[in-house]
Amino acid sequence: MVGTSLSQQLENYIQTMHDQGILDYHFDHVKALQNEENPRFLMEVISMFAHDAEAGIAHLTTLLNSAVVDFAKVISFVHQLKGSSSSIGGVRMALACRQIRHACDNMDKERCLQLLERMKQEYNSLKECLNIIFEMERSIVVANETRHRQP
Amino acid sequence: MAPAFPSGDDRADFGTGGHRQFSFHDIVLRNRLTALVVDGVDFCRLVEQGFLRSCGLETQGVNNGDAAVELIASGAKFDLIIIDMFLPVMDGLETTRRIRALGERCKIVGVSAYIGENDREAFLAAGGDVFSEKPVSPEVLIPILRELDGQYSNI
Repeated sequence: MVGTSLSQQLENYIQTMHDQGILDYHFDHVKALQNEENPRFLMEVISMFAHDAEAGIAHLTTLLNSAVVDFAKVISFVHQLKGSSSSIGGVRMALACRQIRHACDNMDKERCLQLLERMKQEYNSLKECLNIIFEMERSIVVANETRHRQP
Repeated sequence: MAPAFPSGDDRADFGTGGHRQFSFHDIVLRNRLTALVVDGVDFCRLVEQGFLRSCGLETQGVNNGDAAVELIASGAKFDLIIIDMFLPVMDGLETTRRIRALGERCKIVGVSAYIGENDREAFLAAGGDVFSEKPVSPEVLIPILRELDGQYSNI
């Protein structure tokens, strides 16, 4: 009996992430951009998102741990992180970013630092999810490439 | 009479994994449409251009407002411009004003990761047409593209 295909396993995993509230339907829109002409698109966007997010979080950590916080710069990085996390469907990370923005509006450094830790936790959950999707996608791409090479 | 475009507020909240009214593949363009995406975040610009291309548009992307204004000033023509409000150096509002000051009358959609109290009004006052929370959804974009493509019949 044929086991669950790699693609079906991936779909099942994505649905689980939907059910857990880690991903929303924006992820599905991004995934739908992948096609035969660009079979690695989803892997590329996941890598790009993670790279940009980690750089942004590092900047935020430095800024918020400064003696005098430049809230305008903090807002700029929070804005970028919210935009990119929303765009990949990372709804809980996006919500955490929104909360940091509110704390910035109140110039509340302590609250910002608390929320930064929460945002990092949400990013780590999202990253773990996206890494699993990345690896599943890579397996699918390799399997397809192997199949196409067979006579 | 053309129908009113949905604003970002008109989008239904579909929640996590809920039923979606549109996808970016739910449109077949009859005409060649072009779009410019102005977004300082590379990842977001990649995704926004991807959505537009999946709808059948030809797209260009720039990462700042100055580059967008220079492109328009050089004579480049677009049917649609999507501008992020939070751009480096020159923000999305000023970029919109300067594009309109050049006489460009195409549809301009403003997007923002965070919508403040007066942001929509400020964008419309700057000459923008539709303001949406980021990421722009098919529910907002598809009706705009259909109107640009002439797919709505005149009443």
